[in-house]
Formats: sequence, structure tokens, C-alpha cells
Amino acid sequence: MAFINTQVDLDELPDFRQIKTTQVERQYANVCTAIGVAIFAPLTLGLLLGGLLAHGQAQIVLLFLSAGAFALGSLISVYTFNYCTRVRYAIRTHDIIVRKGIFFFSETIQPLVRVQHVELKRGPVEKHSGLASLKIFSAGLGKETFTLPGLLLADAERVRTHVLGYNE
Amino acid sequence: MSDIAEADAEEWSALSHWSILYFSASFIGQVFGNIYTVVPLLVGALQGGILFVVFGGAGLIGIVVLSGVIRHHYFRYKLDDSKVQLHEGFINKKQLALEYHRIQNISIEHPFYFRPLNLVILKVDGAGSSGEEVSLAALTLDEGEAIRQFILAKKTSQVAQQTDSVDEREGAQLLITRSPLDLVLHGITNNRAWVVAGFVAAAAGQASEQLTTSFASFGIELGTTVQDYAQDLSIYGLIVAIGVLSALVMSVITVISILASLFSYFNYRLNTTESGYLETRGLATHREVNMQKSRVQALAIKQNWLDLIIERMHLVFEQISHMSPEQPLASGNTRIMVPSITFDQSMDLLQDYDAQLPRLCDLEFAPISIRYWRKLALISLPIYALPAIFFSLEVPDLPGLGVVFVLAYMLQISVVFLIYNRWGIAVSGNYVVVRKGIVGIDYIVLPAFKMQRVALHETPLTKRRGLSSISFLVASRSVKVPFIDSQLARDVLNYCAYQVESRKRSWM
Repeated sequence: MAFINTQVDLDELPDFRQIKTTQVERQYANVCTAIGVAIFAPLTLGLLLGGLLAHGQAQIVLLFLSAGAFALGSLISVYTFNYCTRVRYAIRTHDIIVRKGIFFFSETIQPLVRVQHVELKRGPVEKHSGLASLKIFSAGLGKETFTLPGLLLADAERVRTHVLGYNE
Repeated sequence: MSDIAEADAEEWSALSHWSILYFSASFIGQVFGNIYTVVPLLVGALQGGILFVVFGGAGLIGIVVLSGVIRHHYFRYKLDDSKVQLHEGFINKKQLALEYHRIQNISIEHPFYFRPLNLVILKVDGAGSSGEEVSLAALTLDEGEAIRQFILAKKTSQVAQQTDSVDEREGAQLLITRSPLDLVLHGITNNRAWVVAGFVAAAAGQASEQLTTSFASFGIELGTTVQDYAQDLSIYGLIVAIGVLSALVMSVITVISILASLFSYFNYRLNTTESGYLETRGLATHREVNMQKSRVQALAIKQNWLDLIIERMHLVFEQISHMSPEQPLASGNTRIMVPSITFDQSMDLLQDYDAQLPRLCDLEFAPISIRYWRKLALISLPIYALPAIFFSLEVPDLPGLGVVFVLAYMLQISVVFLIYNRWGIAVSGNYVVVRKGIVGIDYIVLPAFKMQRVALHETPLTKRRGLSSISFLVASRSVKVPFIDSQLARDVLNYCAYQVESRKRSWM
């Protein structure tokens, strides 16, 4: 066969930044924020209660700590909520794209032809809220996994079928 | 497990009860392999007294054994015509199906606790992520060997490859050899003597004090000898002493490094065969490594500052790895390294790998933005400036202390400037080439169609300046290029996705 070396016009290539993405389930942000609140609320309340019951210097320290825990908890909850509402994804014929991040934004392209295996993950909270995460593994360093969180179980299963059914 | 048992009880096999030993040992390894869990445990044990140690220890052993029993109870495996399957776990259930053609390695291990029982562990590694690993513990050697043979027989394509490689050995063509002089140069340039010298310099300041303390604990007073001697020495004398000590340690380490290089790479020969490479080397242990060309995931040319002076470098052909190339265990069978070669030799080897690969020195690399250097210079400024101001104000008797921090800052930003100066990216034909380094120049050549994943990273600040960072994941490593023009980043990623998805060439 004759060797052909066709010039590739970069402007003609499909641009991953021009595609329409879908936001993951709103419930995902609610669940993540609720977990943050569930951790910080008892801590804040415990410190506040201790502060109200204690006397002298201990009271001031505990009240300050309580205020600190409240501020930190609020900050983390607001950040988590915003982070989770900004997770978006798109499925193209040949790859999956995930956009994440507020201050450290990232956009990852996972070609389907390189997928080794897929894991559908549901923790207790996800199970309760009808959500699921899809972890997609390619070859190479195990620490770097492509995760698509906050999908409805039915959607996650559909995406999984699409990924596994990709015909090379 | 009951569902499995009911469905096909005859096909699923359980491991011998002795595997509890293996599961317990791996649990211990997981828990105690982490320093963050060991330190609090030790501190707690030391503070809690003897009763705490006894009851805590007994409880711990109980947990370890229980975890072993549970994992053994819920562990089942099955070998069918096309794959090896695994079901394990009680709370976190794991199901794995590993097709034979994707198996990379099958090894048999003899851990010390199985030796008296003459039992082995069969480990099967998949080509995917590190989670794709099957360990069948407490098999007899015969069982292990039988399963290995069974899997190998099923993995027919690999058997065919092995046959090919034997035939190929006869028709192999020599690509390059390395003389003992080259190996000596490699030993000199690639030793860690400089790192050790730094430690020696840092430690020497405390040496006299520690020596005195150590001897004092044996009732020997060195007050009139070492410490006083150190105090009597002028600052120049101390510098000379540290210099001599460092030179001594460095010489010893360099000699060891040269010997190691000679032993490992003696009679080095890299041959090209019909499908790939055949590397032979070694003095005491002779090694023969076959690597199919199609398995090469990345090529790296590495050159440190000593290499730059003598105009040498080394070339690495990287295979699939679950470890970072910087980790020592990632070496061995996962890569072929050609030590201490000239630039022209490295270009010839790249040409042999793919005649369409351009000469790297002819490539025009898009540099990263100077803002990368500015950012790091700005971020690290307070780390040095605050102590410098503090010591200048609080310890005015020692003005040199503040100056040290200023000099350290200057040194750091100079190094970062050199890093910025080297870092660049070029795309040519089927390849993405990343140039890196501080003084020497490293090139990482990534075949675009072998990318496993690509990503773009931005922060609000970089976005405003029209800059982005990109990262590439191939099966042997990940490579990041920071602060390049956003349009270029987008074009490179679109091009890589196009190369992977349109050509559909196998990465294996």
C-alpha cells in the first residue's frame, strides 16, 4: 500500500471546548454538602454547648473554637456545593469529557478505545439518594483514575453500557 | 457469596486455609506499611504502659487474624476458557474478570512464611491499572505451576510471540554496544554522590556535638577533644574539614556507582529484532530483555549536568508500568536503558525506532510562559523573606543569617528560571515531544496515538492571561506541561484525541 501522509488541518478537528456539556445531578451537590454539614454541625454545636457550660478562660476558648468550626464548616460547605454543581460531562462518539473545579479547573478527555475496565461505585449515601459514580480505568499509573460522579443509577448504567459497548 | 455458591458451586474454587496467613500478612503490610498509622500506634503503646501493650497487642493480633479469616472465607476464583475471575470481599466486594490476552506477567513467589509449608503465591498481573492483579495464595508448587501453564497455554498469542522471539534472536541485528569506558562514565554521571554530599555538609555541623553526647553516655568525656577542637577551628578550617569529608564520601560512592554500572551493564548489547529489541547485559547476573517495539509507550532521553559536560545522555525505552518512572522499582523488566550515549547515537536509535521521528534538535519547541517563573518566585518569596527580616531584626549580632536566606532565595529562583528556560513542547507527525531539565536537557517522546488520557488545567489567573497547563497519560508515565498558550494547549489536545480515536491503533 502506498504511504499517504495527509496534512491535518487543526481548525478542522473537533474542538473539545466547543461541545455542550451536561451538569451532573443537582442532588449530588446536595448530598456532598449535607455530608460536610453532618460533620461540622455536631462539632460546632458540641463546642458551643461546652462553651456555654464552661466558665472563665475555657468558656472563651471553646466559644472561639465553636465560631471557628462554624466558619470553616460554612466555607467548606459553600465550596463543596459550588464545586459539585460545576462538575459537567459530555459523551462524544469516541470519548468522554469531564470538567471540574472552581479555582483549579480541569478538563479531561478519556478516549473510549483506551478504556481497560469500568467500575460502578455506590457508597451508602449514594445508594440512599439513588446516585452512583462511574470510575473508568485506562492502562498505566493506577493513582490517576477518571471518575464521573453524581449520576443517577440508570444514567450511570447507560454510560457504562456505552463505554463497554464501544466498538474498536 | 451464597449467590455464587448456589449458581455454580462446582466451578468456583476456594483457597487453602493456609491462605489466611497470606491475607493476614497483607493486612499487616497495608496497616503497618503506612508511617502515619505506625507512629500514633507506637506513641500510644509507649504512653499506655505494659498492660496497654499486652491487651492492645492481643487485640491487634485478633483483628489481623479475623481479617485473614474473613478474606479467606469470601475469596473465590475461577479459570474458564477466556478469563480468570475473582470474587472477594465482605463489606467492599470486588469482582474482577481478567481476560488471558490482557495478562502481562505471571509470577510465582515463595514468601518466608510459606517456605516451611512448601506453598507458593501465584501472581497474575493485568495490563490495565494496578487494581488488576490476581494473587492466589497457599497453592502447592505443583498447583501453582499447573495454573501458570494453563494460563500460558490459553494465552496463545503470547506463546506465539515467545516462539518468535527465540527465532528472532538468531536474526538479531546489533544496534549499539557500550564499552567499559562508557560504563565508567555512566557510573560517574549517574550516582547520587552529590545528594549525599549535601547531607554530609548539613550533618557535619552537628557532628561534634553528637559525638560528644554519644561518648558521654559511655562515661567518656570528650570535652577537651572533639568539641573544643571544633570550637578552636576557625570557620575556614571547618569549611575545609567539611569539604574533605564530603570529597571522601563522594569518592567512595562514585567508586561504588562505577562498579554497579560495570556489573549491571557489562558487555551491553542492544539488538533489533523483527518485532522489537533484545537487550543483553550483566557481569554476575546475565540479563536478556525482549521488548516488542509495539509495547514501547514512551522514549525518554535524560541528561544531567555532568552528562552535559561530557556530552553524554541515556535513552530509555519505557514499557507499561504501574509505577512512576522515578521510582526505583519501575526499572528492571519494564524498560530498556541505553547508558551513556552521544546525541548522535541517541538520534540514530530514535530513527531506528521510527524513521519518521524528526531530529529533536531540529524541532521548534513552544516555550512555557515566563509567568511560570514569576509565579514560583512570588510564592516562595515570603518563605525566605520573612525569616530573613526576622533574623535581621531579632539577631542583629549575626547579620549573615539573614543573608543566607536571601542567597537561598536567589539560588531557588535561579534554578526555577533554568527549569522555565528548558521546558517546552513540540508536536511533529505522530509524536508529542516535551523538553525539560535544569542544566542538562531531557526529552520525553510520546507517540500521540498511545495516549491513554489527556487533560487541560486552568486557574482563574492563568485563564485571564490566556494560559493553560496540559497533561498526558501514557501507560508508562504521566507528563505535564504548565503555562502554555491556551490555543496551543487546545490544539495539542484535539490533535492527540484525533490521533487516538481516528487511527485506533493498538497501544500494546
